[in-house]
Amino acid sequence: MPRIILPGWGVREAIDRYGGALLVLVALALAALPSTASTNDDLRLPPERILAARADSPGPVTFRHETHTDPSPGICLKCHPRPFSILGRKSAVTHALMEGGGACGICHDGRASFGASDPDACAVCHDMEGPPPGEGPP
Amino acid sequence: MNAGLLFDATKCIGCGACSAACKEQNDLPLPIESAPTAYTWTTVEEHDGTFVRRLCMHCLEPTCVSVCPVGALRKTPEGPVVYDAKRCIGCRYCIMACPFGVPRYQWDRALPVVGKCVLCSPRVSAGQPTACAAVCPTGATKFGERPALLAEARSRIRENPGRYVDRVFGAEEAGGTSVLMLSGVPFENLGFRSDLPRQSLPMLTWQVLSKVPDFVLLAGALLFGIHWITRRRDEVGAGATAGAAPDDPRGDAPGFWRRLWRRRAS
Repeated sequence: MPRIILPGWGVREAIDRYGGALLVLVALALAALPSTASTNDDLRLPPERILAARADSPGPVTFRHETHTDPSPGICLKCHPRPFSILGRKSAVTHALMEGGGACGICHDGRASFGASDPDACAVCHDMEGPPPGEGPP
Repeated sequence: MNAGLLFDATKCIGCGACSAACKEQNDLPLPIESAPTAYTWTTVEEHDGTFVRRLCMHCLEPTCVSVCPVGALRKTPEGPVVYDAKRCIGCRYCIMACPFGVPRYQWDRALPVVGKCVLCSPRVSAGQPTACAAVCPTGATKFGERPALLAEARSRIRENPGRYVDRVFGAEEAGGTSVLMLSGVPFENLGFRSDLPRQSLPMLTWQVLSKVPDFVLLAGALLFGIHWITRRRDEVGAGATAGAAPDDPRGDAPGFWRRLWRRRAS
């Protein structure tokens, strides 16, 4: 079997010279691989949804699919069709529901994700600088 | 309107939005089962990393419609194959007849009916896309007119031949279906039958059944003719053995046919 090493060089020498470049090439190829194999290049998640603040709320909540999903199988079924409608029908979202394990509370229970009534986490969901309570859209 | 769906398995990520939307649109009870049942009309299956939807293909000439003895299943002019539970007698012939194994039975009920995808017929009639197509986040399920979808499917293959197998599933299978599919792997690997005929299945039986009325008429005329000839022969024979008995050999009241024969003979 012919050896594909330039004349006068040993294997060790060849690796010394080109090993670094080869490593970079392999790294680049690996980095490029997931993007070419990806099938969700035209993923269109639903638009963000603003939940108007009730009178006793510290501020409106904006729900974004981007921060709540990943492209894993069955991901939509965690929240649809229950507790939240996937066809845009109105679903009730209250802290009372969440504390009973409904609505956002199915995940925001303090175990799977931070608790819905965690006193340190209000600002994660609520826009505290939004319109003052009671003046938001009905 | 000739509504249809184009499902592109190379775009599907298996998120399940279609199943969720189907449940909600058709008021079906949860949970969402892993394979289609009478209560889960569409599912997403994974076959070696490729996600493929399971749903009614809405044949252009549906076998279920052709076998249903009470007309509970119907192909609407808009495209959907719809089901009327009030007419159904529960014979389950449609379940046996479907080449895609789609209709399912409510085995857990005392008075069961069949369940199957109806291509969101009420939405389609109102000019809306099906619920599954409306919520699909990757565009893997697309709603439209079947001829336009078929053209789009062919152009997707033409523009990206490396991505797809060269087959639009549903273009000809079982005589053509309103639901079309594209895939990067052979459809047999995705759990579809490999022996699907290109012609419509109701045509197979229609070729025979359409000839039944002609056959009944012809056979009836033939049998009556034979009967008439043999009876006449008996009559003539009886007349010959009785010797000089020109009158009716069997009684005083000659029948219609006998009188006709005598009149013609004289």
